[in-house]
Amino acid sequence: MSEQHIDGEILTARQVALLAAIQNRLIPAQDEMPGAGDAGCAQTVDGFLKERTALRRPILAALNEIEATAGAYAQASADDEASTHVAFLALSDAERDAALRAVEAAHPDLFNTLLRQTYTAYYTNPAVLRILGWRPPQPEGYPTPPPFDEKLLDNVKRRGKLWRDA
Amino acid sequence: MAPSNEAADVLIIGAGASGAAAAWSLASGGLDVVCLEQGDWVDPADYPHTSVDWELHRQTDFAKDPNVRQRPEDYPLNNDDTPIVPLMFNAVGGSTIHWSGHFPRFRPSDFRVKTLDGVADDWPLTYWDLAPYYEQNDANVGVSGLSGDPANPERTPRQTPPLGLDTATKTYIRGLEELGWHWWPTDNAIITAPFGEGRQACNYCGPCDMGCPIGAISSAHVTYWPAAVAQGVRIITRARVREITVDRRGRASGAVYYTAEGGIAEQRARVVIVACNGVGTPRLLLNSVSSLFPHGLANSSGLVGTNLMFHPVTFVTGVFSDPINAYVGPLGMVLHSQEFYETDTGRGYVRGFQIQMGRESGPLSTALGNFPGEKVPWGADHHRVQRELSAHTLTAAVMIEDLPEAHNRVEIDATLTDSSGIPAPKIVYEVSENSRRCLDYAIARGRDLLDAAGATQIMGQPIARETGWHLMGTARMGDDPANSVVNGHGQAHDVPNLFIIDGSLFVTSAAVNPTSTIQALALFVSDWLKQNFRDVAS
Ligand SMILES: Cc1cc2nc3c(=O)[nH]c(=O)nc-3n(C[C@H](O)[C@H](O)[C@H](O)COP(=O)(O)OP(=O)(O)OC[C@H]3O[C@@H](n4cnc5c(N)ncnc54)[C@H](O)[C@@H]3O)c2cc1C
Ligand code: SF4
Repeated sequence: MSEQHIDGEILTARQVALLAAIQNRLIPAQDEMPGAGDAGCAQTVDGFLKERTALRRPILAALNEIEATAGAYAQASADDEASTHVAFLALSDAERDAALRAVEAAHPDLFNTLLRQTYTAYYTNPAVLRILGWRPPQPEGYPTPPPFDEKLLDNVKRRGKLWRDA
Repeated sequence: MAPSNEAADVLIIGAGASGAAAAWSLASGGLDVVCLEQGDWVDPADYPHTSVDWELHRQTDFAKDPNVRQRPEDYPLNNDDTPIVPLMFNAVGGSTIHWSGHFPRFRPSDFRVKTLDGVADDWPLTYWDLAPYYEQNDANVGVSGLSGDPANPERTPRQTPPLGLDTATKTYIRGLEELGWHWWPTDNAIITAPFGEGRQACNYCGPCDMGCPIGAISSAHVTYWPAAVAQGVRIITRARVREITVDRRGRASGAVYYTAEGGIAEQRARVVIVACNGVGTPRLLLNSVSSLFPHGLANSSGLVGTNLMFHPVTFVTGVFSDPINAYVGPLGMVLHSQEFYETDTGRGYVRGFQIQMGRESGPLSTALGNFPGEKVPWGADHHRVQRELSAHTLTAAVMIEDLPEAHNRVEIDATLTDSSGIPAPKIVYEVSENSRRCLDYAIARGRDLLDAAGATQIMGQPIARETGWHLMGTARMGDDPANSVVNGHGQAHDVPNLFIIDGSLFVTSAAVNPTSTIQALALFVSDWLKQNFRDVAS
């Protein structure tokens, strides 16, 4: 398999490659935004799996379901090493999306866990946040807005007392 | 077991909002107070606000749901039988470590729902009994806001001015004024100007739900606790109480707890106060079984754990074509409307609701659809939708009054335990017909509001699951021992030197956030206890 197959802490090299390819369909590259797989989100999710064992079962199951579904689409030729290893990688973009939609419909909980962890990895990725213009909330905070203007309450005040005596 | 130490005048179990207020009050009356708390002090350096991956911490060590957070000091809950999940934090400061700081008071009518509307029960005390304690509490913790709200009785000038007039606030006001509804800047336990020691004014950073690293939000560990400790209160942290002990006369004699090292110890006391919140308190009472109290302590009525109330909540999110940038400013609400607060039977339900005008959070929260309940779609449309939503939404929370029903309850789970082996709670709860009708009506009004404010698209879900912020009713007050667990001073009917001071006391829930009322009650009960200590302790 190609050199992009990095061994993860919890995921195997094949699973990292599969996950990255899936993630590039979940959040594809567009304009200045990188695809989630290209941004390294497979390795980030691998890190989540190391920290939180409860995530391992649904994420691994989701990967298995997607790969099994992809197998049904794959037209792999016997001499194509990469495509026989990871059936999903042998599919066109449209076929990959179709496989993902099929798994989303059949196993919504598993798929949602995968999606949630992918979004979490992407939107906490320093490079992605830099492109989007986000910085941590502290220590700067944000500028204080102008003071509240009590005149805005004139209409409400005119209505008089609105609570019941008791 | 470690040898018992000297008996304290008062043992408080739980160092959250209510325990802190009581510790301060009792110590200022000269009593010797010890507090046992299963969590620890939170180091401001631990808050995630300065990290690039700050939003990740909502799903890990600062998650609101203890079942997700799973810190060693958390206890698990069996939530299989509830559409609303209890949320809390376990540390010195309790759940105020990551609360939003909304600090409304109950209205006078909230204490009289039986008399006024023929439902549930009246409280054994009135708004006017609590009014001086609300005032004292505000002065102690620091509240920003504006007095003069015509929907509530008069109160003294707030300690600091209301939050500023940002685009979010102005946008909501546009809608509210068009509809002609009541609205007012919310009392927030967030200081907007210098107040108290070592605390800074809010700098509008946003995610209060993961704690406030500059002490602007009035959490109990920056308000009451420093003052209480200075008065000599001893907090023993990482002390997880297994049971409250009783003597031969059936009086509380102290508590047995697991220490930080994992052994057990006993703290004896003349008076015991339980302040573990609306889930932790019934759990501890039900776990405190003895030959004198075979069904749990103070439970001759069988009511401990029953009548659990949350505030059913849902969010209505509006999308705007111009940027609102509502991730700037405290995550919670800027304004509230009590237009639909009191009963109007023409609407098809009794009691009412409040609309709380909230903001937005960071890009991960947007992508996950934290408020509307639906994620941004994956695939080719992802970036477009994310761009359209991020910094362009406002979310109003509609929060309805929950009425007490005996079948909604906290019980002890048959097998689940915390990491010390103490039996954990199971929550059994369903949303009543009345609540469902009220929620539906409230959602429609939330939509009216965002529409009038200029939203181009409005999203929402029928009920939001992770909203069990307010835990109430599970050891309620009353004059009749057959129909309540404690009397009008928080004193257990069955055990005269045992007191309860948290949201478990609530007879009804009102439709506003509970903590100013919880703390006012804690001060009210403490005052009575100080005056009657000799009788109660002997
Ligand atoms: C995310 C979130 C947002 C909120 N926002 C608001 C808001 O805007 N406005 C508002 O009014 N309220 C809000 N609340 C609710 C508010 O935090 C609670 O009402 C308040 O903290 C309750 O105070 P308490 O003293 O009853 O309990 P807590 O503050 O929960 O404290 C209970 C303490 O008891 C300890 N304890 C429990 N069992 C044991 C045991 N067996 N041994 C030793 N210690 C024990 C716990 O560790 C904890 O520290 C929010 C809550 C959450 C979770
Ligand atoms: S918005 Fe204000 S109160 Fe909230 S965490 Fe930031 S500084 Fe603290």
